[in-house]
Amino acid sequence: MWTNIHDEFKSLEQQRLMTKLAGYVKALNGLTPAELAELLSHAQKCTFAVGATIIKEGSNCHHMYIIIEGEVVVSKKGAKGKAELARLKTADSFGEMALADRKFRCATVTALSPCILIRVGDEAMANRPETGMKIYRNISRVLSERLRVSSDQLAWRI
Amino acid sequence: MSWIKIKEDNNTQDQQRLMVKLAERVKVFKGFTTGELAELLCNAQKSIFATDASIIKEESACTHMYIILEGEVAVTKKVMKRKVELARLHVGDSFGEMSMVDNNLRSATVIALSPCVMLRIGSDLMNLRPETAMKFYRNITKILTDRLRKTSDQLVWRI
Repeated sequence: MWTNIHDEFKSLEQQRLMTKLAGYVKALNGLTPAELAELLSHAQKCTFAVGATIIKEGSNCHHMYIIIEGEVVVSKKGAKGKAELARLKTADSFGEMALADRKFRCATVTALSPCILIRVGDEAMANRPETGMKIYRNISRVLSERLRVSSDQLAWRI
Repeated sequence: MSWIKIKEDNNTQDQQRLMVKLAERVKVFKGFTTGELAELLCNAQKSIFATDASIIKEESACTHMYIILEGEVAVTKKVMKRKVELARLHVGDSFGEMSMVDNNLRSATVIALSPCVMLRIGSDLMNLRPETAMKFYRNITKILTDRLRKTSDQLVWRI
């Protein structure tokens, strides 16, 4: 069940916690406290049990997720069944690709431990070009990093 | 090979024709108005490369991104002593976005397969309006997403 962060965000303690956490999240790098508050007012929070599927390869949804607590595994169907592509932890994000191009999910993400996640959609940036610019620039950095790793891996296998 | 500023290069009519062509065919300019394009082109330079010229070199430190106005290029990567071709790019495609956004070394070499006319844009985009910058970075995010989808598809069948 997803709940709006908006209500929780009213408490000062929660606000501090979020601001501190955001400092470690690459996708939120460089946002001012006001921009962050605005973004988080559109965000939702959810808890997942061990083994729960958070996103499913081939499905059609377009949120980006940030891990507040816990660990997840990213896997994809391949020649020998399911191949593990990455493990992600607190402050990592996933789901940026479908957020950007609104296409189908290219991988499955499963909780390896109990997870607390927040999710953000692109409507949060629609009327905030400054925030949008920073987030898309951050996301393109995250994707570059991933692309560097996967094209290295691929080049060795060609 | 020398780079010249777009603004000084063309007369107004040529410039306008170039703009229309860019907005229609270049992925990184998708959804741009003529005004937004003009804003971005203040940061742009144009150059011609002969066949076989290397446009960017793996592991070099430069942070421009390139747009192909004419010609075809090959993207290759060194593996041990072999050269592996990762992609071929054509008119309207771009490359070099990764170093532009993360300031790291070039991850691949790009070579002209035919005579090429290239446009390059520097990573300093501070003069852009936020609306323009957001569109630009969103388009780059889409391009990288597209590549990552393809790469991880190819990779997963080889793991």
